Amino acid sequence: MDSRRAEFVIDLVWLAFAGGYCAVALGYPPDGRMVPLTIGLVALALGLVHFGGNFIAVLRPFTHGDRDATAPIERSEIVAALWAAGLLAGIFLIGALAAIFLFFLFYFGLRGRRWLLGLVSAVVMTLVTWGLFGQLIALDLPVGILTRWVLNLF
Amino acid sequence: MIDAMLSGGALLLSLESILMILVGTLAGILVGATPGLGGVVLLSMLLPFLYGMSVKSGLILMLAAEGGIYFSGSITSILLNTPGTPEAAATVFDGYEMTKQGRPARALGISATATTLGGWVGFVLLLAVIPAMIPLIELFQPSDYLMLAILAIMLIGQLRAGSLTKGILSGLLGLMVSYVGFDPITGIQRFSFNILSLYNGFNIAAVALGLFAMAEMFRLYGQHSIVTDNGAVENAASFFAKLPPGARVIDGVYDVFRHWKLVLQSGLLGTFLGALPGVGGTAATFLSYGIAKRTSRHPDRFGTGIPEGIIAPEAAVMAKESGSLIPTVALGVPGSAGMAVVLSGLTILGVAPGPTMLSEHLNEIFAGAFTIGIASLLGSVLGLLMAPVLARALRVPPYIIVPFIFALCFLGAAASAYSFTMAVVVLGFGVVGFAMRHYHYSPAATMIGFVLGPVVEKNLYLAINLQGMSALTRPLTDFFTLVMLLMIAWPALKPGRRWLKTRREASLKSRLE
Repeated sequence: MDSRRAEFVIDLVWLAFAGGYCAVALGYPPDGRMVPLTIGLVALALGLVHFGGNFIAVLRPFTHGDRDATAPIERSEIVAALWAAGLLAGIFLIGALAAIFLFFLFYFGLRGRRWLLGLVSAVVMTLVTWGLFGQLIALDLPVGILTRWVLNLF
Repeated sequence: MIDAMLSGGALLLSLESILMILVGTLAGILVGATPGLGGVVLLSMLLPFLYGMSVKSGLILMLAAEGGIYFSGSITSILLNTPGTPEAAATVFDGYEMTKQGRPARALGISATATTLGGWVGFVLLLAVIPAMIPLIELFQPSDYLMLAILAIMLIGQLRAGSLTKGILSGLLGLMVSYVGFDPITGIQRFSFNILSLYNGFNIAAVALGLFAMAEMFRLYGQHSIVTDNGAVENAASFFAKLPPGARVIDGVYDVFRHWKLVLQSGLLGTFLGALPGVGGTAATFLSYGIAKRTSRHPDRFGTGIPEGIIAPEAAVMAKESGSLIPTVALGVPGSAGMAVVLSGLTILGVAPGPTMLSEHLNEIFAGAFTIGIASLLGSVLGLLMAPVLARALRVPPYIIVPFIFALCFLGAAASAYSFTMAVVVLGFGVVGFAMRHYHYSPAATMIGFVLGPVVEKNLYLAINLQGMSALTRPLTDFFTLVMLLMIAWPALKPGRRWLKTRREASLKSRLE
């Protein structure tokens, strides 16, 4: 997607977000909605002006700046976000300890063929997660939906 | 006041405080030397560890980390032509030139001493300004705070964003998400959609980790190597080997003392610019470099590897940190993105942003000021000792850091709220922060909006209910409103300014003819 089209989509998303925000805020008692509604309405009004910059050339320097077109998002940046999403999904599906172990092993194994580094990092980070976060900070580490389901089977 | 100052200094004499200074400074040095990881990322990563700490320890840890970053950021600028932090970019001009001329140790000596002394100029000013701020903040009424908070969000937005509306929209996003959760006025739940984990709103640490650390890692993942010339690393790492007179660290120290007026000038400038919300560290260092060049007797030699070219930006950078602490602690208005995260940290530590910080936590704030002074010296000394190691550390490809930051962001955010829902929040804000940076919005303004959201709400409520229409006649409120209107109108005046300039040039030309 080219940058102009992407910005157009972002502007539309903003309008939907600000509109939805105002609609939800209207459901609260007067004292509770006063500030969020004010901010939401300002956001909606400014969002409309900003959106107008897509069509009105005079507005564009104020709304989208006079910089050159933004470079498209690189594939590597999307891959990075997918790695992060994968780790998070793993935490909820197979549990924090297993997800962190597998994440480090496969990240280094697949990213740079560094399986040994992956194994060492996986062991160290799993121990850190269990020792520092699980035991010392007493964070309730997720067991994982799949793990719990498998455990229930037996 | 002297009592509070002494008590603040005494707070640093405990083992816990010394440990915090050491840990913070070391973390700052390591992160500062790693291009891609700046002060904001480090401070965001520290936020989850603040839970349960005392105000004193938390503030010392954050300010020591911030203080440790700057010199090590310059090490890579000087040795490898690669600024470790954006603030160290101006040091490249003369620092790397000196390295090419075979005097890297001298350049590092200049940088270390200038950073320390500049930090001390800022530290002394900070000690002088804090007592003066106390009577000043008593002049502020709710409407003044409200307008000041909005102005701060707008100023930071304009610094980082690609356009006027993008800056303001970024700040508005922060304000909007800050109202998720329990409403302190009516006691109702807002925008939490019956999700239990959101009853207390979005966790500050999770928002900061997402907007800054996570978003930065998405960008860093694709980078293979920061240093393209491995030979430069070898040369830099062996810079201690041969040190003829004129190329030693001590020669650099003498250089700085010989140019003490420039240190003072840059330190004062850095502190002043730091106190203005919205002026970033990079702008401060380049401005300091530019002024030093303009006021120099030999401006043509700047960029050829002269001490003044390193002293000017280095003395300003640490002083700026002291300066940006002034509006943060006195008014609850962060002067920079880093200070927005420090303010988030203070909120985690149970300190409400605003005037009560100075009245209720004066000793801790003085301890923080002393920390900046100590960290600027400690960061320079440790940085000098570790310079060869830090230069070699740059060989590590950035993508190796990425999974560790991912895991620590998720675990840290979960530990902050004792809920893994916050890990989802981190990822969500990570994607938002990345898109914002990519399309020239301002994540810093969003963070400041998020932190100041409750301040805006409380003061708007109080202004309407206590002051009413009389708020419009308050001189401070009017002043802040005027500045805001000028900011909005400034881009609209651009064609007029251009027309005036053309007319002036034409009349000058006709007069000359």
